[in-house]
Amino acid sequence: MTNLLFSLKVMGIGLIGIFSVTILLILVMMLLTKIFPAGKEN
Amino acid sequence: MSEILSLYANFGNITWQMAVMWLIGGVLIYLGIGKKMEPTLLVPMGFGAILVNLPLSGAITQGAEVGALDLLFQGGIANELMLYLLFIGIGAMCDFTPLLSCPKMMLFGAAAQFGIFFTISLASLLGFSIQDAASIGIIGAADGPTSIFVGNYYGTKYIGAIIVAAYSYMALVPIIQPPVIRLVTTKKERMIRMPYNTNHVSKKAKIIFPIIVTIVAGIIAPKSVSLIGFLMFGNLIRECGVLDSLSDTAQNVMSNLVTLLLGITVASQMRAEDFLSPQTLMIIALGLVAFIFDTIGGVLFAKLLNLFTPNNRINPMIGAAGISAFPMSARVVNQMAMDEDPTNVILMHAVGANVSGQIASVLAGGIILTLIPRL
Repeated sequence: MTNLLFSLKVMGIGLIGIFSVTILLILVMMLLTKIFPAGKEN
Repeated sequence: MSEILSLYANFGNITWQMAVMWLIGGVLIYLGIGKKMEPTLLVPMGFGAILVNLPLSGAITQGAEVGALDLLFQGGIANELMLYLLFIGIGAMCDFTPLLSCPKMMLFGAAAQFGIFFTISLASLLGFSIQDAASIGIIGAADGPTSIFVGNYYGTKYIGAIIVAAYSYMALVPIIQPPVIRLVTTKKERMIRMPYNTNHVSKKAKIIFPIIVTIVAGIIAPKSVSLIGFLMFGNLIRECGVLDSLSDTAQNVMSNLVTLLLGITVASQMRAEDFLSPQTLMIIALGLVAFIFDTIGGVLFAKLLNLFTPNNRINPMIGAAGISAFPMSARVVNQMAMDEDPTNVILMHAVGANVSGQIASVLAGGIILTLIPRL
């Protein structure tokens, strides 16, 4: 039971962690495409 | 006469368990050749399963004599060398353009890791220790190297079954995902069209992206930075434009060589005495659960997003492509969309979600390694 509760904690924090990193990476990608637009290069 | 008969004495050492493993090997070979399902993995694994389950097989260690496959396992998988080489190749194969041109696809990569965490809880409920449960749950990363990495880190005794499950289910994505997707979507949802805008990602953005991902992921989950680092290094080689011959070698020669050895080396862990146990069968079943809940997690997350963006609807099947099995999952999802409407091509969106799954699965592995000792 202790293991299960612990694993549920891992699930909760893990999913929040993965989504927070994902959102950070999405912002990075948006920023990259804004700073270095393809048009300028072409 | 007795000398001649002694040549056949080893037949007496054949057990029914070995025969079952030959059958399993035969099925894997059949799926690879007959059904063309990931033959690069299934054919070597199937052949290897037969090879290691011959009585007194010299391919595996017998007493003091080290077997060739055990040697390869120690020198390539236990020390993670093959994983890093393979990740360079995978990175060089990944085109992140569809992801960079539609960054929100990255969310599906995250959502489709749900199966990992669900399976960790389920494995804990079934009595596995939290370290073993984490090693089993990571099968849902749909990413062999990450599964091996986490399993090795926790020193789980189930590493053989985990590797076999991870690689087998990756190969079986075209069989596993369609019925699950159909179960949680309607025909109308599967027919949703998604416009795709291309050609607006600069070369500079594509070069900087792998460097930034490495820095961000490395700071947040330092324990898995080697995996994400090698993946992104491969991608940098691809995108920089001045290392084309290295990129070509990583994508073709090196990847093929590692894959060739990986499949047959993984099979060294398919020994009947270890493989045919209740725990192994349970792990195989839990691996399937992880893949199913990854798929469900991705699809339901897409449906949730549709509630908030009714004018810009997402085909929920895209969520299922968020698992790391690249490019099988993207192909499966696109094929399913075309089965419903032959003019509905969602391949680029699916590829965007699928490559993000590559990153997200390694992140999930790193987060698990970082979180468990801290909690």
